[in-house]
Amino acid sequence: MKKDLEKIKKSALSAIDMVATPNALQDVRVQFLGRKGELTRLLKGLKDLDGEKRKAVGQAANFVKEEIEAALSARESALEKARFDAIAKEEWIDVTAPGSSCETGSVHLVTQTINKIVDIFASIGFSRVAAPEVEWDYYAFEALNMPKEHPARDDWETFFIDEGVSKKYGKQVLTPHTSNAQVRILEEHDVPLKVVNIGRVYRRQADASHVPMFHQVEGFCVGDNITIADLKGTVEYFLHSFFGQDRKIRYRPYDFRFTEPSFEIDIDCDVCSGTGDNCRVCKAGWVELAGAGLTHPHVLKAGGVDPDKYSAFAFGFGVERIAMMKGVSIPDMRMLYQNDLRFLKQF
Amino acid sequence: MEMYVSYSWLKELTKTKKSAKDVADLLSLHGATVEHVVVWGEKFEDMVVGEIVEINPHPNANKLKLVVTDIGKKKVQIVCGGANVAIGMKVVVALPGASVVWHGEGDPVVLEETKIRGEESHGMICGASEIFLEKLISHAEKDIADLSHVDAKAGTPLAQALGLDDTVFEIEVTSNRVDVMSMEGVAREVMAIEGKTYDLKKTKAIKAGKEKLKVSVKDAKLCPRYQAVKMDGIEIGPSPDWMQSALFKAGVKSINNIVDVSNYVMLEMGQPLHAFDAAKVDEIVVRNAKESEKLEALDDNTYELDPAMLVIADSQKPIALAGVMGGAPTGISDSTTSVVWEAANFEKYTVRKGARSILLFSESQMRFEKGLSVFSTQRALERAVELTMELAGGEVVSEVVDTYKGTYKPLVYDFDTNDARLFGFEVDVPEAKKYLERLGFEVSGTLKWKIRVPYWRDGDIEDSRDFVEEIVRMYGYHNIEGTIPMGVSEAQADPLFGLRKNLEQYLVGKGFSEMINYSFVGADDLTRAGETVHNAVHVLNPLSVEGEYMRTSLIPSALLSVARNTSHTNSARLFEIANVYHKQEGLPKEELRLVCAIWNAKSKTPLFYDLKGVFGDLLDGYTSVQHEMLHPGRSAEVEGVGIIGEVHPHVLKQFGIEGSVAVCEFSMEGLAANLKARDAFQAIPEFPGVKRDIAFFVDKKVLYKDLENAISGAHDLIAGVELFDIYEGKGVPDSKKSMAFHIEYQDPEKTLSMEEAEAAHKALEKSLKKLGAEVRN
Repeated sequence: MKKDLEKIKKSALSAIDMVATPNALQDVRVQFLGRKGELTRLLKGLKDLDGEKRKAVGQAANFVKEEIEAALSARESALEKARFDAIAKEEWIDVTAPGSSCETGSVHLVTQTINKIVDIFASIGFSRVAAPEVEWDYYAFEALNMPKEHPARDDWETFFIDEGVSKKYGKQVLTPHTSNAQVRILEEHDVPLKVVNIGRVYRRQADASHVPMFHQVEGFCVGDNITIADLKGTVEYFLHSFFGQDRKIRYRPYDFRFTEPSFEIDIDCDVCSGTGDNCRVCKAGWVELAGAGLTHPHVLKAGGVDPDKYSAFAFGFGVERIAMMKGVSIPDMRMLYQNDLRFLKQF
Repeated sequence: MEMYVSYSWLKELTKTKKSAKDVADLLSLHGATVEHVVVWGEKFEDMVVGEIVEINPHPNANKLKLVVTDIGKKKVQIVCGGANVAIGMKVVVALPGASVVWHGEGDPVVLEETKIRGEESHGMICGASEIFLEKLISHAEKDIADLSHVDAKAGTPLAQALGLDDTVFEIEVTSNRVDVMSMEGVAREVMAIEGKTYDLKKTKAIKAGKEKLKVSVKDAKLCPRYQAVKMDGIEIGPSPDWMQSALFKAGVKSINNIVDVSNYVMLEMGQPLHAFDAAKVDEIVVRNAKESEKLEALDDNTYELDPAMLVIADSQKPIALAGVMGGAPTGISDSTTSVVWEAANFEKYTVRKGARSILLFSESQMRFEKGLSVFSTQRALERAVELTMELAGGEVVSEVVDTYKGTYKPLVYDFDTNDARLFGFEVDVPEAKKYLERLGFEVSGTLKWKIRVPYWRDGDIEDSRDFVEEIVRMYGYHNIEGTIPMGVSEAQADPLFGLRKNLEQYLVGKGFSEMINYSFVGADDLTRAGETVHNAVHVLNPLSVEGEYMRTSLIPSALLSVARNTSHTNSARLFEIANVYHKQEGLPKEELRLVCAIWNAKSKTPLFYDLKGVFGDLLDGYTSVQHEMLHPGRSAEVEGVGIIGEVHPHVLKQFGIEGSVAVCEFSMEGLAANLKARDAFQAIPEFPGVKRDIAFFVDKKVLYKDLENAISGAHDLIAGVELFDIYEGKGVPDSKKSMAFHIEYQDPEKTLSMEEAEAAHKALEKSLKKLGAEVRN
């Protein structure tokens, strides 16, 4: 019996040595240690032996089994190591080839910009409100200190709606700016107020740099001690968050009917790096960005707020404009609204 | 309003020591925006005055000549095609290195030494338009600019010879600041910014003559003041170089000494003037135009006037449109020897409306329509008379007519410096007072001020609030430290914006791209999609018929966008979230909606399910519906939310779309109310369940919804129902469909035994049989 054991051990160890794959190794395991394996069969024969001998052979057989198992597991590790060592070569792929396609869509460039704007203003407590797009002349102009026939109205090439004229509110127009929210919001809410109104606005213009419908942001803040410093701080916080802390900002005195004082806000041109040299984009190194000012007392009064008790600021700018200024240069603004997927998916 | 301001002229008025660039920057920060700074000297680099000494024919070209030109240091040969070249003529020579605009068209190009038809040309003899001088020098199209009258030797740099060695600011003046539409106004701003005060130019009182002038104003409201004076012995001729170059730099063409004086004084003081040929004007009547009267204006066009317009007329006919433009027949010509100077004030809205109704615009009209002071006419008239005598000779022979009978009462406002809450910075009261005084305001009082407004700000200061602006801009917005207003807003964000943002992200993950369409469409697009224009809001002045109606549905423009993509791809997923507009009493009803469209050029399975699947189990309650633009067999309604379905093939044909399109149009409010709340916790099963499949034939018309209800309700242990196959056709009896479901049986309390599951499955088979299903094994 002992001889048989020796023989089994020898042939098992040499078989293990020869094996080259995990599957072959498993076969060897079955061949020797499996239910019908050589060693198992031999061990089954033990029961025919008597006491002492059975114990001695049994012990020897266990040694052999352990030895075979140790050899199997050593071989298994060796094979595994060899396989891991080889995968760099055998399982190499071209990582520069394109990834598997995974169809996703895209949020429109303008919406992405709006979402960024909303987030920045939300972080300093401005909530987004909505206002009508088809609007009364009253809220679009008159209540904003622009009586009928006022030349300032020329700046807005306005679309008119041929529907019911109101005795109180005048004609209906497609709102040419988001400022129509100002008096509405004052009528609907108590002060203090910190809001942004972002929406579609309409002007009669259509060429490579103008579209008849575009988007504007109106910021409006009313409180008992709102100052020019607050206006400046708010606008600056936004511009620096949106364009980066290193951009330069300039404030120029300007004239708007619904604010007094008023100013325009420029940012340094990143096309010519602010030099203005032969630059087609900017004016002497600056790009016009927004209009702003302290809300005119007439506007506060129109909204039922006492201008001696409260003050307010407002600012406005175009969404498309600041999207373009953030480095997306689109040769023709009309492309924004043609909804060609080859355009939409770029952003 | 744009205005060109010469730095050297400004320097003369202000005595500033600052560079052109510094002055431009300061003006932008405190006063009017300088949009562009044009350095004229740079434009004329490598250009000199040349004198022609010899002209020879070009051997290879009939129309060209070889012109030997003295350019100071040497004489060079230049090939030139100018028809008027002559020996002794002084010309503009652009040397190699200079930038010129070929024939006045396109971008400037840099000249090089070259051969033209085999002959050497050392530079170019220029026409005015080739070197930006068409407004200064006029000549026939085929000629070159003749500088013979210029007092400069050959070789003199051109900029120096023409007095153009200067920098010009292009200034944008806001419409409330007509006082800055003059050199004196800009000078006042610059000096105030520098901490100094500009003193108005002194003018000499006019020594009136004896002759009476017949002047009458019919409506003093429309013409509050009319001043006129007659001068005889005038000699018409060109203006001196200094005036020509001053006008040129301001963008005004030089005509003759009298016309130039009127423009020069307007540029200098901001008050427009007009000169009539006195021999052609018997009297002056300021009145409204009569029906169908005409005016042949100085721009050589004849305009038909209407009674809303204010004119200057003689005894017969209009001779000028008040404040806008004079008439050609009474204008200054070479034969004029006697002029009537007009310095008047016209009501701004009348000037504005008149100019706009016949689309006639001028430097004069631009100023009048912004509102000039009644009190600026006197100085301007004195200045004009003074300059006329200096440049054209002559003397005043008439009285100085003045129709203004009122006395000047300056505007006075109170301003409380304690009430400085708007500034947001500590205001230095004495300093602030100086700011205003330098701008011409008279301020009295220490803390509570009385402020007298100078006449040139009459039309602009409306309220004591306006002084806040004057003080802040002089202090400088850039010097204010920004703060962020604290406190919580009473207005909360509109919750639909939150839903909107979530939907955007969700749909993008499902492969949809967001489109933004115009809010308006054409009547055609509405009707093609089965909508009617009846409820649609109509735009009175659309840019085109494609933008005549506000959208009543988002689907037509979604189909237009799909159609625009069919040429380059085979499928598309698009969505938009925007308002639709429906007529009602008062303003239209604006409703925020979501539209989604899935297009596939060759879809084999109904796209309806692709689109419905996008919303998964977020929505339920789909019922069949008939809708004009939708496929009659493949469309559904979600109550209170909107419609979903495949677009009717007939509609697709109208839009030129091949294949099929599934769309849904949902109300955002409806979606917000109907999206299933996901805030209830459901226990995670603790014990393993049993999965079984069941397959059966059932009548085609039996709705899935009814089957699902029957299956779910067949036994308490049924915890999950999932359709995994639906099939009609070969092997399935006609009028039947084959359906197969995964069913999950589960007991929340214990591990389910096979026997229990089997019993439940039997119960399920029984329920299905009740619906006429034939269970297959």
